[in-house]
Amino acid sequence: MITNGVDVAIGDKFTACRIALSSFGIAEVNLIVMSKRQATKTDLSMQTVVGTNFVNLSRKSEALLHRYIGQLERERHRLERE
Amino acid sequence: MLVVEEEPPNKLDPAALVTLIPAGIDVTPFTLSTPDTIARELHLLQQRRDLISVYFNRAQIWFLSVLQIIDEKHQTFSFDISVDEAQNSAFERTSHAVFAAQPGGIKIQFEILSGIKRIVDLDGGPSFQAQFPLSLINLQRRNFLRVPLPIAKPLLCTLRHRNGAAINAQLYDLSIGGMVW
Repeated sequence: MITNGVDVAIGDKFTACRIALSSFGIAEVNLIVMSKRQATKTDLSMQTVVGTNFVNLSRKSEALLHRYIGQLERERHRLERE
Repeated sequence: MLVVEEEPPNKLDPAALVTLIPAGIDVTPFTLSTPDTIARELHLLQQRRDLISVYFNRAQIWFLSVLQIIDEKHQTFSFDISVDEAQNSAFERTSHAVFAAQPGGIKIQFEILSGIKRIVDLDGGPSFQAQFPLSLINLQRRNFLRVPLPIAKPLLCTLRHRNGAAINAQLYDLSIGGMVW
């Protein structure tokens, strides 16, 4: 189940979180909550949006995230050119 | 800095509303206070035609606006009036307004404490004009490029909540420094 309405507070820490980066693999990260706000979705329902920073990001996870973000950027540039 | 915890009562186009920075966030490292840096941020907002949420009357009333003219020499800026004339009349009498925008997910917020007046802009239409703010918050916490994530192929992060429950959070943007979910 996708759960974005979870009860969190600024300063909360989460360890060993796993981000599934499609074919690139799983990045394991530690997080700290930096911000939390209510946002309005397109169907006008409200949703909590949580901003987090990575803490002590491992080299392996950093490399995976770099590759994934690079791929997304290349795709975005390609779509903009078309 | 004025902050609100609840949505204001106006329900006009709530999807476009930028909420104010919540209480409890230390904005000191993100606060610009020199006229040059404030002018640069105002110019960027104006050039991109970013929608600005203008709050007044203790954040009970708000309207959407766009910056029009940034006058560095006189340290003033002008911006679109509201479509609601009653709001405009109330706004002319206010002594405190908060402006909030969120270009690219980065919160920009500043407040005006006096000197709001209605003017005729270069196109002959009505605008409001105000003095530059004394400070401006540019809440860019990350030093890395943020990428918005595709909605069609949502990226999920599995976390363990403090109550022990596993959470599958859908991510909205990602960088090497952090993520939003």
